[in-house]
Amino acid sequence: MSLFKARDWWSTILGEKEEFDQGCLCVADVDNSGSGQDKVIVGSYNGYLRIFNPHPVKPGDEVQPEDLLLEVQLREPILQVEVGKFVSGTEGLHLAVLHCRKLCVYAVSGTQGNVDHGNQYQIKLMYEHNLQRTACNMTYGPFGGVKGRDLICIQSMDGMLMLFEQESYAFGRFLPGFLLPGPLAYSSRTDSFITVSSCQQVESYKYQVLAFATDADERQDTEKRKLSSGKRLVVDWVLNIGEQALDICIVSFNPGASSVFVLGERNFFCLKDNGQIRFMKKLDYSPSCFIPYCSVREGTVNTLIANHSKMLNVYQDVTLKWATQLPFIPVSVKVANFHSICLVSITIIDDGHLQCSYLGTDPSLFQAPKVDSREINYEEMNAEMKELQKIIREATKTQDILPESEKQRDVTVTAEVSPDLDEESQAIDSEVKTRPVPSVTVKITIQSRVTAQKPSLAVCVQAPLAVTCDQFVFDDLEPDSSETVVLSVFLKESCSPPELEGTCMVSYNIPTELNPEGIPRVSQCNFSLPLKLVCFPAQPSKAANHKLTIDTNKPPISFVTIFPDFVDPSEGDQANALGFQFLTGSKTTLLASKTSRKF
Amino acid sequence: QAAWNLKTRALTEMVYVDEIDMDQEGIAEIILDENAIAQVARPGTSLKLPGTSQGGGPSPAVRPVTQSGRPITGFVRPSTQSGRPSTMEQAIRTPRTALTARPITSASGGSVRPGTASMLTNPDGPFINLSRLNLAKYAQKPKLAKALFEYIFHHENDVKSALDLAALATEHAQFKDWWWKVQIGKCYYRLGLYREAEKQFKSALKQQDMVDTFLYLAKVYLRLDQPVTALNLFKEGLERFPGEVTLICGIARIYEEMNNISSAAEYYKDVLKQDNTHVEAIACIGSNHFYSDQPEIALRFYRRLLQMGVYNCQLFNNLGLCCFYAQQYDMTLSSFERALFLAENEEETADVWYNLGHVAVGIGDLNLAYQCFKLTLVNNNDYAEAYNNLAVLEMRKGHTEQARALLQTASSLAPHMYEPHFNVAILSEKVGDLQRSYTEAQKSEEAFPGHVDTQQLLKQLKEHFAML
Repeated sequence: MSLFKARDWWSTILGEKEEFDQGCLCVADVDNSGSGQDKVIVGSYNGYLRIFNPHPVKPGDEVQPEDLLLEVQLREPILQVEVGKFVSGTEGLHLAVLHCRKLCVYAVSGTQGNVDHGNQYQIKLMYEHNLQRTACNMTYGPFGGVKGRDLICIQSMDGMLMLFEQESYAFGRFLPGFLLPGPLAYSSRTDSFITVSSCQQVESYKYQVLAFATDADERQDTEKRKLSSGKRLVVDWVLNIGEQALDICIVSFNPGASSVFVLGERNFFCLKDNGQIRFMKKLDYSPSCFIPYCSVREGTVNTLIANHSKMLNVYQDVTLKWATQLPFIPVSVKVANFHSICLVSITIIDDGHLQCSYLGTDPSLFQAPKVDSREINYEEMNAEMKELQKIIREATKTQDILPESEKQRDVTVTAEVSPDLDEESQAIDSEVKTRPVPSVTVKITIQSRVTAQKPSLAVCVQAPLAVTCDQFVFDDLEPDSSETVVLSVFLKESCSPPELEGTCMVSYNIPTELNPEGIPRVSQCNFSLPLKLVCFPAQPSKAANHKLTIDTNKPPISFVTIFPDFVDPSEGDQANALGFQFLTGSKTTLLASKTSRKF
Repeated sequence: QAAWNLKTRALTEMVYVDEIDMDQEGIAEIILDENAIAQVARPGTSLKLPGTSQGGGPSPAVRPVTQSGRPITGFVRPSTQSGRPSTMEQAIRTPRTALTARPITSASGGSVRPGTASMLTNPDGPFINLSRLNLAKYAQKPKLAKALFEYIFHHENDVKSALDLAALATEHAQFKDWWWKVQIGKCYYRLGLYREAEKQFKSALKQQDMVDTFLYLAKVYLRLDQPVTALNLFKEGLERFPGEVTLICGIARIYEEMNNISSAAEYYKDVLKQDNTHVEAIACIGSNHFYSDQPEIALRFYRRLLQMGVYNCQLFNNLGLCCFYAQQYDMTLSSFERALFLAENEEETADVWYNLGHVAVGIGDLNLAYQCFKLTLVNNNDYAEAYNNLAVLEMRKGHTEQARALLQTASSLAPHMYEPHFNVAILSEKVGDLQRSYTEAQKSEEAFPGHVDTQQLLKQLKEHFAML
């Protein structure tokens, strides 16, 4: 996320489908021209070595042919390129190229062209070393404090540091506890090598200690190595950072101290010489590469950190100073001086884009994609609007988010309980043995105003009551048609029912245009059964095991109104005692007080 | 071994989610919270009581609140919005009432992804068979153990095995490796053993100050509902790592959750001083300005976000609202148009339509407003605010019953809102149902004690009753 994008100063595409990685980019005045202008050296895994001298007429120009100083194809993949004083007897800069099994040092020189076509450049092999082990990366520096020349240290894939004193091989040492090679750097101030091991800790090895440790090469086989492990390489200091590191850089801008910068997978550390954390910063993105460089402010170091979300961030210590967008994900970033511009970052991407850019306030104009913008024809729109509003108005009349009221039911179901008991009892399988069990007829009518598919009726009463038939399935109902079924309810089990309510339910589907299968709907109704069904009148008796008195605040209502089925209307209001006998056998007597308000 | 290590690391990296950001408090944890010590916390010391604002916080009349009564923040991040439902009933109802709250059991929350990823990558079965692994053997090899631990923790998501391995490894390292302690702490945190996690993190901090450890420890304190301790810890961390954005941001978040908006804004500004591309800080300051009646300034913050390349529905939504309130009507509709265009799901669409409804109310086109709110409900029928506003429109039309039904829906969907209650109270008072009006007004007062209109209504009703 940034306001600005990196301003393109010069860019090119290298070859086709070539692969590059961290070590493939190096910036230095490799041909010792003395002009102080940096050249860009790029080596690819495909073995191409190129040297560029970018000098566009104006920023963002096309690549000029003479910008490419040199392009050679070496036969082996190039793992890393470095420039340093690698040749004895001269302080001139030479180019070291690391292949898998070979280290070559070249001298790059330019000769004045005969005509005005520019200079001619060539490389000359100064010396080469064939390596015993597969190399991973290398570092260089004045190991042991030598003046005026650089030594090379190569880390192999199996954890051996091989040191070369220019044309000659010095010694090799195995790192203890090695598993996978990590980044390697040399600190000239403390004269030590710093790496991040597989234990996720930063380790520092003194050159002196390395030099005096047991020579690893003399031990041919692993057996022996284990035996003589008594004199092992001793670590100078260790710092556990708890993550794998991507890269290490060491910078010392004032002679008093140097800083070790470690770019981890999730954090960015700055360590002191002795391995203590100077500061650290938690990164909220996944970084790809970084480079510290000098800062304008005393005591601080600026760092460029590029990440996988195509951003290049400039930090001054831990404060973000600038964030800029890159057109791609960089794999390597460097800082170089060209002519007038002093700060130019060079980035290289995996598939071979090489870009020199500088920081500028060129806004990265984020172009929001256009919303479907068409020519507006107001008359048509108006007509459409009217049409739509009409539809909306119609729609709001018939339906709403809230459910419709009960009146508009499409299918209604009604149940009618006949006032008299069946003359011939319909009871079947009743467990009540005492008497012929009475039954009552219920007539259920389904009325439909619309087409209802697959209507099915379920009638349910609470046990111990039962119905003669509790499931009915009908054919599809036509609009304005009705179906009627008749069934009987009776007491089935030998106990008193808790309630005399029954429910009938109709489920059906109403087909719509979109859904021919139909939307499932349900309508239901309740019916209540007469008390006669479960008990019959008996002689009232005052003797009872349990008595219940109900006080009321109104005078008692006559039994004729409460139990019209049981009281003979001729007796009128006089009856103040009523006896019931349930089919199951128990007797109940109801007494209404004439004077007081009591039942 | 080297290849094994590499592959383990690669598989882990594929599904790596920063544990610090992964924080979803599941419904079970909230209900079965055993760590609560004092039921009634003193003001300003707990995150559980929403109303513990110590001044400076805006009132709910101005700034909408989330379910638990916390002001809405400008940036969606896990666990900020859910808050803590106070009762079991509310907790269970949450999934239906608010999209912002997602009570899922935390074990499944953010960890679903790692699980599926492992299935995707390894159709022939898992790369490492955990059950057959001799953890003790690997714990002896620190190089392999660390990679293996991350694999088990992130990729396999098997916290128990990870904890076993970490415990063995830290023993092997003679309790001198802070990294293992942090990992054990992480495992304990996942398992809900917060006190144990705290111990581990503290011990790790003693050995080596790391930003991550500070963040983890603060997270434990927040989960234990000790925001003040967490604040102090963050400040301690800042002394050690001055200018660390994540720490400052943590402070700002806590202040925001404690309803201390002004302090939160200060800290967010500090964040921007350190890292002026921090999206969360910009968004939060922007929303703060918006709710403190400075839509023009909020507009500038949101425009900055847009320039930085944030391109989503929410941003355009905010831009549209800011434009409207800053009286830049020409931009308003086009912003909403873009927001609709960019909306990824129905909830977002509902938000846009809701805001459009607001705009329509603002320009007096009640018909349009009505339709906008209807569209909101079509897209998201849990939108309590839309129900409320629709009810108000119905009230104006004179459809009392409709309005009442809508308001009831609104208040049942969002018990934390005072508006539906207040509206029901007004409505009932108009039709003469004073008793209901009184009870609803009381509910409204409960939801928002400082609401002047409610108090006036209550006073009026009391006078009425006194006369009777």
